[in-house]
Amino acid sequence: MKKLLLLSLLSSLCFASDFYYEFGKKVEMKPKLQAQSLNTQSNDILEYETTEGKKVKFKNEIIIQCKKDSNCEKVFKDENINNYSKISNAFYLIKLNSSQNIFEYCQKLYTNDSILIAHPNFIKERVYR
Amino acid sequence: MTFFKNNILIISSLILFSGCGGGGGGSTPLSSLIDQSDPSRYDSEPYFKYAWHLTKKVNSFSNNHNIDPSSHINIATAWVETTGIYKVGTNINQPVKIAVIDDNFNVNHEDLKDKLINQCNFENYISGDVITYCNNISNQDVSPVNGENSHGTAVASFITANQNSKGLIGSAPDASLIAIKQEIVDDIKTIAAFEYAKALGAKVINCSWGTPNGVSGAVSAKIQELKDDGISIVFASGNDNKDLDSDSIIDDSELSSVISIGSSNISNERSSFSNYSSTMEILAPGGGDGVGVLGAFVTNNQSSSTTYGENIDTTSYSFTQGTSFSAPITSGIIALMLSVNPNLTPDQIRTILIETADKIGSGTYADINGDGTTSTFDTLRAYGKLNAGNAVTQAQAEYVP
Repeated sequence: MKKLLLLSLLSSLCFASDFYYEFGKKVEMKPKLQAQSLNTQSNDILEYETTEGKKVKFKNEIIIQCKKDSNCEKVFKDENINNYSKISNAFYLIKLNSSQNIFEYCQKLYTNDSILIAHPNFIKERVYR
Repeated sequence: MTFFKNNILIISSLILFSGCGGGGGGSTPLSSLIDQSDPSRYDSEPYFKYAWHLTKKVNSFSNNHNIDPSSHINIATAWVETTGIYKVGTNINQPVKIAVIDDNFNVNHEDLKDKLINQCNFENYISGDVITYCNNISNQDVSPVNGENSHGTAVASFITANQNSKGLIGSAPDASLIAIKQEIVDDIKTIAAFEYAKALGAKVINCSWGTPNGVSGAVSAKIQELKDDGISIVFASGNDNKDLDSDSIIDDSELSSVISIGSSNISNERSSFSNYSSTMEILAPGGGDGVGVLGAFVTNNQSSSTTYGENIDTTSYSFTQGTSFSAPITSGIIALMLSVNPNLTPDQIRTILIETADKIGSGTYADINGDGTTSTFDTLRAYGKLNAGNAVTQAQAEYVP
């Protein structure tokens, strides 16, 4: 499965590259709407619209779920990712700088066999019920 | 009267325990000292008389609201056995821990302050170890800011409001509360909030909220991880009278790893606002279509408190409605189930809840599994309405030491 995704990734790199994987599906972005600096520190908020018309907002950060008994920190090292933090046994947060393309990192990490989830740190509306 | 009698019993028992020099440390749980078989002990709680959702014994409103005598969840039968203190297992005599993730909490509310064991505000969380973050006292203020309403206070009160001769009483009054404030929502804060609840030993996590643009893959995975670790996650289904199956958005309450709760009303029917889906488990009282359910309330604007003409303290209580309150009532019952059978897995808890639920309303309950053995399901009412007494009795029957 992951090999197919890798092939898909390689071919898609020749075309639009703004996408990530979520729930095992490729989520593609329309051309970028805007990038708002809502926070003057390191957490700029990025806003995109998916090709299915859904607006998504996220920080320039990636959430990782590592496969059980895998060593994701080795993966990060291999990819020269240094700015990461362990949240719990399986979950990590990677912080990117403004020169790093979040989609490229999401795609690259998702196709790694040690990683189950690699998508942006979304900002969500919450409704109390 | 009964409460007075019980107080004497409590005092005598405490003297006896003191005289014996204690042993084991810590105070003896109230529930182990009082007569569990008499729900009237809660008559000392001034607003227990409005708890139509808990037991038919009460419902002493000034006005006739045509409350169906079967609209309650049969709590009295459950409370005969337990009020939220482990009766068996390695944590015997300790309270079951329930975490509530919500907007904020009034930690000084008379019906919450004695139940809080931990609190953390994830507003400033960026990354890193959650225990280290929450141990920093500057991250422990979960209170409402600038007079904002407090949804979390109301939600928590339906679980752990305790026996203190003040206000009301929750469905698991002897359970303890971990209050987690998380108003600013990015996924890593949500994941960290869940991780904190797990790290502190919560066995039930109540989530009376939803994510309109859909739960993310990472949060979904975190919830699955918690379930795999034996923690029951309860979500409110929402208040839009909507079929959640009808759109492509994955609502938090639709995840197979959570227990999804809709709302029932005083007519012992599904509340007209209650969302529904093929993945919903059961209904529990949430008011609407008449009278709401009374919960703790915090506001600077007393006129926003709903009283239905009853004489209640509008600075601290209000009648309210929504699946937000059906969920914590159910979370409390799960805590009761765990207190008599701590070995139950989330899947076993789910099965007991749906198999002991009461079929209510005019629904067509069908054998959707086609095996003729499991509980039947109705599109709008799921597997029926929570029956706390039956659920706790069944949980206890399944206990294997």
